[in-house]
Amino acid sequence: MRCQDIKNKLELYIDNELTVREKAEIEQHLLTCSNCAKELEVLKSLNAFGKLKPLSEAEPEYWKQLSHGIMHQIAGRDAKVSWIGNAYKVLLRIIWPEKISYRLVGLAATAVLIFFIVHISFFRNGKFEVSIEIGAKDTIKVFQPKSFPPTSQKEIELTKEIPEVKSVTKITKSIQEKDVDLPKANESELKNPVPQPSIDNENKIFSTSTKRVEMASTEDLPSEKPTIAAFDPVFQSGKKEKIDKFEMMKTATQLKKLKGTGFSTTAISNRSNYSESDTSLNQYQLVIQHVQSIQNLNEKIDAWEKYLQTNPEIELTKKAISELAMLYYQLVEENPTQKNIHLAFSFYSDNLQSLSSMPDSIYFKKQFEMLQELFKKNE
Amino acid sequence: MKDQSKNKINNEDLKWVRKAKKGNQKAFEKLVLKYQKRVYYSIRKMVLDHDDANDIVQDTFVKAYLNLNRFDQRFPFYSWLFRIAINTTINFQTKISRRKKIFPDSNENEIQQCILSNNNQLKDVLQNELNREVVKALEKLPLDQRVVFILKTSEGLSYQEISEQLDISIGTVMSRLSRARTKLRELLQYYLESETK
Repeated sequence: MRCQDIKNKLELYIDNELTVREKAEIEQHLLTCSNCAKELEVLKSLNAFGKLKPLSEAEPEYWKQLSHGIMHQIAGRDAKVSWIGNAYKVLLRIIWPEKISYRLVGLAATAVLIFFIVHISFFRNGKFEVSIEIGAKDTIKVFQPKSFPPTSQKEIELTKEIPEVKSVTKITKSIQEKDVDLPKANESELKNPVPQPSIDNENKIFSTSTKRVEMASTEDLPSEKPTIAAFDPVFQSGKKEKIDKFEMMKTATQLKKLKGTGFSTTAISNRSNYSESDTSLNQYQLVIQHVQSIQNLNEKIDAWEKYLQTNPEIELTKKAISELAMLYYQLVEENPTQKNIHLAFSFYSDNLQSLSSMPDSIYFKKQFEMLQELFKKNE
Repeated sequence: MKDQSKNKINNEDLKWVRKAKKGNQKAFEKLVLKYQKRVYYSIRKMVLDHDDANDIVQDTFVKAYLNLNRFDQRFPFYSWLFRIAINTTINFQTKISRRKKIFPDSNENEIQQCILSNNNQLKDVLQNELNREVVKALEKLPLDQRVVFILKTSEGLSYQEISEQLDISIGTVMSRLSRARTKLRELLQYYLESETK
């Protein structure tokens, strides 16, 4: 075996990734070749650099604090979960009591409540009816005496008015039924009538308030609320999880921003650790990281290509070729679309000669074979 | 014999995991006390910063506790825990790099706190200088390469195990490792030459 072949395999040798036969071959060679033996020593020293340890062991107090901190956080989470669990139990007991005869009452009450809420919010074709009713109630409150019996003269006058102002409909009825003598209008009043709130005016008032409310609901808030369900298919089952909602929304918003800039569900599902049933926050963060890495790779490759296009006379150095090859290969790994596979494969084929003469050639060869396989599959 | 003692450890872990699943926090505390040091040192080598390692270890154990139901009891508990730790470390990447941009020299004290755990008891000035340079060089590696390098050299995982832990192909493990070594070699050339002479 040639020295170059041995050197290519020395890393695998030191990492214990060779077969017994290959190992024996290398050991045989090392006995006679001082150059390769020296190379092995360098690799051994590099490995030793990886075995770093802090200068002194942390104080026993630190470990106590660390475990205490962890357990404190866990206790906090548990308490939160149990609080929600207890609230859920109480609510369930109200809606679905243990005694069968009460269940019917519970159900009926819930149905009425739901009908009432739905009726107010959706079917009355005016989101503002609710506020009008609240307004009406407020007006009636004004006529109520602060103390009983009423003390001040003003309050006495106001209470007198109460029986008359039972409800708006009753007053209108009484006006229609009885012939009420209305005071005759003066001539001057007829000439300059006091502007009454006409239907148009009322509509105007209502329409402005409508606008205001609509503005609040459309412009003051973000145009699309980042709901969990919006991020199909990753987030569809997310609601069921007992995880921090705020974190979830934050992550969802991040993902939403990334969507359309390299986001591909196929790329994500190609990852072996991705499963739709796993809805943990960690999984979503992985997805985001994954998408970000695709973006980064695309940006780097774009920069390279732009540079090469503007400087066609420049010949790629070996280092540049290996950099670019790695980027292409990583891009395929992260996002194995047909386009990416084609790009990577053609780059590897074009620069095969330079790649095979590099110190990393063994890896590039392996990567080229993988790309070739993928390319054939996609053809 | 080795297998027997391994099984014994696993059985003990499983006993605590089962109890913890039922809400017994004391049982989970046993697991914390048993593995916190190991997780801390592994992570510390990857992120090279005490505060980051501290946060990651805390997050790791809390995540493990909340996801105990997903733990497959056929495998060792520590492997599962370590995988969570690595994922948490990688997710910390953005946060770490953001802070490094703001405080670029914040690792100076950190560097002084590290030495090599070689067989030689290296206490002289020269050795301390080497240690400083090694940590500086490790810092210059991208986190993905550093993680693979540490998993291989310090944790002693095989290519297959690393590829499973990080969910990348063996080809990528090999190339990241090779790149990490090439870069470290470039940065520490002077020291390597004197070491191998």
